[in-house]
Amino acid sequence: MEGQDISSKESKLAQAVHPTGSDSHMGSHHGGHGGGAPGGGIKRDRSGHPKKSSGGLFSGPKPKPKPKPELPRTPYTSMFEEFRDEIDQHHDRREKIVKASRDVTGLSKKIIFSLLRHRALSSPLPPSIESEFASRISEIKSLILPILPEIQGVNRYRYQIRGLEEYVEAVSLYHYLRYQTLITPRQAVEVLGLGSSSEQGENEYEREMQAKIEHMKTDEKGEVGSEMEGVKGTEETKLELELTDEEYLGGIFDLFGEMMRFATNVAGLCGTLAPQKKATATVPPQPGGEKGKKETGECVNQDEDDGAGNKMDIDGEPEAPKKDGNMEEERTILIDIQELGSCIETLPISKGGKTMKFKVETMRNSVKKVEKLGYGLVVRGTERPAGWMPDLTDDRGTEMAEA
Amino acid sequence: MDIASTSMIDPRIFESLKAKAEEETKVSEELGVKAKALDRDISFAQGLLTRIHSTPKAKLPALLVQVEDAIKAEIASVQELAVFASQYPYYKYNHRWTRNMQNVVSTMILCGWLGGMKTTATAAAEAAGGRQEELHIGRLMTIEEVGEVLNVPVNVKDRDTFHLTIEEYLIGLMDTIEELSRLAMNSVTLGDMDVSVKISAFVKDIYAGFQLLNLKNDIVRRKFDGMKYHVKKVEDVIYDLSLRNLISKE
Repeated sequence: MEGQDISSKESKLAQAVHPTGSDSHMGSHHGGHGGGAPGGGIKRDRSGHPKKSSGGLFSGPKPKPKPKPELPRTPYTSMFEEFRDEIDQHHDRREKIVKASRDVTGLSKKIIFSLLRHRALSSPLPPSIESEFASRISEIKSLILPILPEIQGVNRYRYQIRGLEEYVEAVSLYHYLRYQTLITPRQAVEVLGLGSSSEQGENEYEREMQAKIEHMKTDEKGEVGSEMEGVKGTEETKLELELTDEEYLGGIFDLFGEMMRFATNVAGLCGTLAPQKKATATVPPQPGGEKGKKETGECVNQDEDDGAGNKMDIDGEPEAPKKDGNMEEERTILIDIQELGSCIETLPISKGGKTMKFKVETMRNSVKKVEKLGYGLVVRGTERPAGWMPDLTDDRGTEMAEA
Repeated sequence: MDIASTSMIDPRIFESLKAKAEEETKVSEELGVKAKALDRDISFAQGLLTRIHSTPKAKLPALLVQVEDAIKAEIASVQELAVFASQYPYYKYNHRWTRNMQNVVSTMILCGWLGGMKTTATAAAEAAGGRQEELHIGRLMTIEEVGEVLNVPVNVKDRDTFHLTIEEYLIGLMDTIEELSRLAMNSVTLGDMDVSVKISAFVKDIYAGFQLLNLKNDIVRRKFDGMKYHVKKVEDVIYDLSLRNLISKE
């Protein structure tokens, strides 16, 4: 009972000298952030002593009675200061990458929208689409170049760059429409001119793409060109963009959706899943044109296709398959999307995470939708009036309407 | 390039993707095995370390010898993991073992703080002082020391190899703080108030250190948010002691 007595006596004293844990904690916490935030009532420094002269509530950055730092230096202060610098660097880098990635995503989406206005396969794209593509690609390049040093070596897998998936989606759609083949990971990098320069021969594609982009740029607007010139100058020690398999595959998964959209468009407008386009590069685009057709959206039957005399052709480009009357030779989007789907299915990616499962499921659905389109065209394609377009918003709705 | 007319897909694309995916699966499985082995060593070391809460000061050195042996096993497992993982991109697989590394760090820091994990430097200093038996409580192993003992590089930026990250060290340190906050109470029960006082000073210093960091919304931040409760727990103990005049004036 003696102890009781002492403790009650001491209690006030101890309260003043040594506050309760939470109080002192709050004091030190706020002190750490440099504000003059109010604690319980008395402001305390981090060792628990009441601070002198607190200038009232929310006094803001008040003049200090003593010019000592908010947090007294401890044996560990300098260690934590080093950590702080490292962590800041890491967060800054990540922020920079995320920003660039988001912008790349936006540009890639624009590319996709513009490409989906096109209605033909394996043929030169109209100059308007080509030039838009080229200028967007050079924009993407100018976004990626500054972050390239940040994603080299050990840091390549450290930060997720979603924009690159989106970019692969856009560029693979372009490649598919243009050549009716699947873009390789290497080509996807070469479109940007960021591939490895070591291997010769395979870089045809890169040179061709870059030539095209340069050409388009000088045609279009000089300013982008000159800006890119500046970037090129600093590019002497050329860093490569390493595209990871995850990014490449992620983009290809998304390509399914775009192929499905494209197939639905052409099936509706052209009544075929193997639309060939009359070369329009030499023909000035006809704005307006016929009702219901977009400027770039002409579909022409194979019979009219000649594909010759096309100034867009550059040596080494795959030519559009020439008409030779052999129907078996001709690949439809349906065949392509099925083949691509089968290839993906052979990959041992089934036990990837939730997102991977979701992507595979979406892919399967896209394939099935195109299969339905193909079936529809065979069964009742001829009954359709030319230009009749199914309502794409709801599959079941379409079926019921048809039935 | 006339594949275009015959097939959509260059078969090499998927051959390569498939080969790489299969390799990835294999690597991942092997990493799982190594991580699990390390996990067993960690569990053992952590289990031994829970005894600090019931071990009086006199028996602590003997316990720490056991713990150090357990940590040696951890180090060996980390080595094995490091050698294997260094062949592959670090941040691709880093999530497989980052939790383990945090735990390893935390067992080492705790053991070191209690006076174990003598590096050659500290051992020599103590030998010179002639106080071999007395444990030197309150020493924080720096990230460099931890890396040195583990024989892995630390915070590597210029090459892609296995290493200990700052985040792993910091989280390990925060885990140690949690354990020490428990010890602050139990050492009072065991009659050793000095340890609680030392813990209090240490915990406050470390907490102040963490406040210097600009943390974003990540795991370190979440851990740090929980740390204030451990700090409070320690301060409550000290409050109880000072209230009753149980802290020796020093």
